[in-house]
Formats: sequence, C-alpha cells, structure tokens
Amino acid sequence: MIEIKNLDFHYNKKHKVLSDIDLQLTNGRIVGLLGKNGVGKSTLLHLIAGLQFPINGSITVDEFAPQKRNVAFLQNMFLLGEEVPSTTMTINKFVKINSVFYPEFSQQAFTDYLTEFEITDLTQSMDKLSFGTRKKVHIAFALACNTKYLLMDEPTNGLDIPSKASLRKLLRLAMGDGKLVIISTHQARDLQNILDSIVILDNTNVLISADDALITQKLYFGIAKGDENEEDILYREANVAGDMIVKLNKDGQTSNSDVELLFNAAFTNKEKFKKAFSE
Amino acid sequence: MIVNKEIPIFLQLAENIKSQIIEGKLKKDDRIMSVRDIAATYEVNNNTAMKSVNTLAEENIIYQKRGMGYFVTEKAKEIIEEQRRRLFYEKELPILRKVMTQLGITKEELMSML
Amino acid sequence: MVSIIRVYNLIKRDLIIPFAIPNRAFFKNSARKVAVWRYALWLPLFAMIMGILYCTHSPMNESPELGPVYGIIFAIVLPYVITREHCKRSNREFALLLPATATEKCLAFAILSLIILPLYSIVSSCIGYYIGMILGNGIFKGTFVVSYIHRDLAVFLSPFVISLMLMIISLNLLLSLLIKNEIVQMIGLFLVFAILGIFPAVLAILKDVFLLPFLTGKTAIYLIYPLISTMLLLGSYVKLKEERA
Repeated sequence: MIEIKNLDFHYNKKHKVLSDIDLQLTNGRIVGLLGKNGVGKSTLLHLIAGLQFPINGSITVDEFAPQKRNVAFLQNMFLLGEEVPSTTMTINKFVKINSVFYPEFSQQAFTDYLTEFEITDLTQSMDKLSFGTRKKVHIAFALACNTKYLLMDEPTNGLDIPSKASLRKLLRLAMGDGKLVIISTHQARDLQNILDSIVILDNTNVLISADDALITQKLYFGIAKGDENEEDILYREANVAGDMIVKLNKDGQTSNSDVELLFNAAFTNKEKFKKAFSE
Repeated sequence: MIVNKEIPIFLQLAENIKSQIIEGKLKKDDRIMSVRDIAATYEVNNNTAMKSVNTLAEENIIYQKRGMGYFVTEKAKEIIEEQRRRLFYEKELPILRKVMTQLGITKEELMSML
Repeated sequence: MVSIIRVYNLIKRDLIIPFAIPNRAFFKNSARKVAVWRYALWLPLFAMIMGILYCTHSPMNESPELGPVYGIIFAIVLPYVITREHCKRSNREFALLLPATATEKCLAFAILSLIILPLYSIVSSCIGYYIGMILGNGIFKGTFVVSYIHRDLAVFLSPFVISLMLMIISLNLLLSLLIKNEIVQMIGLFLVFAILGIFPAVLAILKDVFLLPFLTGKTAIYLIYPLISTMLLLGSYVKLKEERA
C-alpha cells in the first residue's frame, strides 16, 4: 500500500508542484495517473520511487520511506521513466548484469515478454535499436523483475499500435493481487479498458482518486437519449451515433467508463464532478 | 479489441462466454477462464472481468468451486437457449415484422426463402 | 551491513561499461564530437607529451614517481567514461534506484578505480616511454623501457603513489556526483587533470625547495592525503544518499 499524507513539493519556491496531497493506493490494481501537461505526474512518480524527497508531509510504501532507499524497498520498486537508459551493450548483457539486483526477476518471463513484443534477437546492441524497440526491451525487463510496485511514465510513447496492444495484454497478465502498477499517461485511449483505478492531478492537488467500480457507479457514460436532466450532464460531445455524454448516474445504470470522457468531464465541470464523488 | 460502445463491456464478455457454451466449445462442468485470464485476454480491468463472471453466476450459467474457479452448470445451455429465444421473440421478431410490412413481404414468401 | 555479493555485482556491472566502446553513431552527433575531441582526446595527447618530456629529461632518473602519477591522471579517463554513461539522466536515475546501499555503491566505485587505475596507468606510462625513447634518443631500447616498467611497478606500491591515488579516486567520485551536466563534468575533470598534471612537473622543478619534502614526506602520505581522501569519500557517501534525480 502507498500512503501519501500532506505532501508538499516544489522545485523552486515560486512555483509549487504538489500541495498538501493526501492519497491512498491499495495493491492489486493498475492505476492510471492523469493530468494536464506539467501538472506533476512525473514528479509524483519520482517522489514515490525515492528519486525526489518530500518537502513537507510523508510518503510511505508498505513500511518504507522511499527517500531512505533501503535495499528491501528498491528490490520491490521499479520506475520506468519516459526516457529509457541507453547503453552500448547487448540486450543479453544488459539483462545479465542488472537482473542480479532484483531477486524476483524471471528470465523465462523476460523472454516470453520479448517474444510477445516480437523481439527475438537478444544479441543486438541496445543502442542500435530504435527508440520504440529499446523501450519494449526495458518494459519487458521491468515486468520480468516482478517487483511489487511498478511505476511507468508514459510507457506507450514510441510504441507502434500492435505493441500497445501487447503492452495492455502483458500488464494484465503480469498483474497480481499483491502488485500495484501506476501508469502516468496522456494517451488515455491506449490504456483505456485495463485501468482499475484513476487518479487525476490538477493544480497541485488530487482531483479524484477512484476505482472503476465507483466511477461507473457515480457516473453514466453513453449516448444521450434526449430525456436527460440537463443539470445532471457533466460533459457532452458530438459523435456519429449521437451525443456522447457523461452524466450523474442517478438511476443506477451500468455503462463502460471512458477515460477520455472522464477527463473531459472533470475539467469541464470541476465543481459538479468533485461533488459527485464526495457524496 | 473492438467493443460496442453502447453495451457495457462486461455484458459483451458474458455474451461471448455464453456463445462458447451454446456452440459446444464449453461443456457442462468445463472450467471457464479465471477472472485474471479474462482481464489479460480481453484487455479489460478487474472490475469488468469480475462483473462478467458475476453476471454469469447470477444467471446460473456458471458455479464457483472455492479455490478452483468457475465451471459451466448442467442447465447452462438450456438457460442460454431460453434467454436467446426470448430475446429473439422480444427484439428481433418485431424488427422482422416491421421490415416485412415495409417491403411488402408475405409470410409465404418468407417461408419459401427459409 | 554490506553485501559482498552486491558489491561484486556492482563492480562487474561497471567493468563492462567502459568496454562498451562508443560506436560510429556516437561520434556522428556533432555536440558529442566536439566534447570528445576537446576533452577526452586531449588527455592521452597530454599524457604522451608529458611522457616524452619525462623520458627525455634527466629528472626521470631522480623522480621515478612521476611516471605512474602521470599514468594515474590519465587512468581517470576510464572511470570518467563510467561516470559519463552514468551522466545521462536516465542512466543516473537507473543507477540511483539500483537495489544496493550507498555504502555498497561507493565501495564498488572505489574498488573499481583501484583495479582499473593501475592497469591503465602502466599502459599509459609505457606508451609515454616508447614515444619518449624514440624521439628523445632516436633509437628504441626495449630493455631500457622494461627496466623502467619494473621501476614503475615498484614505485606503484610506494606509499606516496597509493596515497595520492586514493585521493584522486575520491575526488573523482565526488566530482561525478556533484556535477550532473555532462559537459560541465568534462570541464571539471579536465581541470583536475590539468592541475594534477602540472603538479608533478612543478614537483620536479621545485625538487630542492622545502615544499617537496613536505608534499612527499611521511606526514603528507600517512596523514594528510588519507585524511583528505576520507573526507572526500564521506562527502561522496553523503551526496549519494542525498542525491536526487
């Protein structure tokens, strides 16, 4: 479990990035971390990983404070940044020298994941690979390290369409009850259906942190029928089949949550949105 | 995965499994995919996978054996056939009638086409 | 508590990186080309020039420490290559989050330098000697060089050289942690090289001045240099613990 209390963070005093953040994330989930450009998604991931230190407040991951960088903590935490490390060694060598530090690493899993990504030649030099391919190697490595906590910053950037589908599949396959995956992304559509929870950051704070079950309980996503109460509609957008709307789910209808619509609804109608989830 | 946006995904998944049962791909007492495998194969989240399984359980199409998974019930095929028959008569037949009226197709003509 | 296995794996890991030699694509990037040409290639050149002067100058016989010292300085180029790989932000983040304690990481770096520096130093000295021999004496006397290599090896184990070496390693480690920007780091290291490069030459010239006995005296070797090294290493350890991406 990740517990964040009263977290303050900034790089310089004039511009606060995170302000008095309270957030609790329970394991067994793939969490989508969303927010506008520059809101602090990467920073939050860095704070959870222990690369940055809180200025006020605390972060606890299980019983650890990330900034202490205890070995036991680091062995169960993997951060895959937007930029992936580049090195002139071969894939095999890279894995060989780095996997020894992660006790739960599985070589079989690594090879399986690479196969899913259609990478078969492990004797290739890492720097000769295209950005997307190198990224896939790192994703496969990250997943194969089998850490309890996996943080990913824009993992779909640079991946082609089949690879994005492979990523979705592998994420769900590698998932387990004890694991927590946090994915920071702008590409809502890429990870659409596989997210168990959503956290939206806005203006130094958390706008919403909720499981998919709660989201689909509180909100209805679908085609407008024309008989809705205008007051209940949080967002409307034109669509081929009719208007797509997000509305308060007063009559308990079931629908598929749509991350992009959710995001738009949150920002178009912030007050109503917040109210819906605080009740 | 291509989904029909108007129908909740978990219902579509449940229908998918029902189709497999009706087509004989899944028989009585066969084990269906675990929630986790459903999530991985169809690329959906836990909530969706769980709901699809719960729907099937509520309709008595599958039963749960603690620690072992979900299995097809004896009456599953019957239940699904009944459901789909009802759906045919309640939803598809009226459409057929409407089209026949629109195009002036008689019952005899329809019978000969069948 | 230090895990020997982890330290061993850290050393193995960094041993590979310097030998992952930059390929042609690396040199095609023009900013890198300039940086590499200006800073990295100057150093072996500098080494050779000093080596030549050293071999053609009579003080060679009187200050045999100078050879290995030059070698040590240029041996820093190799750890520099290590830190350069680590310099890239994503590599830095990866290294910081690699599951090992700060103590283990510092220890691995220190041991790694201790392994590589002497090797590189001897090789650099040899190159300096050969060229110095050819240009200085016009002829190549293999046995002459061999006897100096022998002397070099003996001198390497001298307290003065070991003490100085440890200090240079500690300084190198701290510098690589303090300076994140690749180019600034290269400049910083180059300045260190330059200063340390001039230092022995100045030593040779000031041979008879009171300063030299002090700088190569027992107090300096057994007290002052180790003290400075310890402080630098402590500084590195603290910096590593506090290091943010």
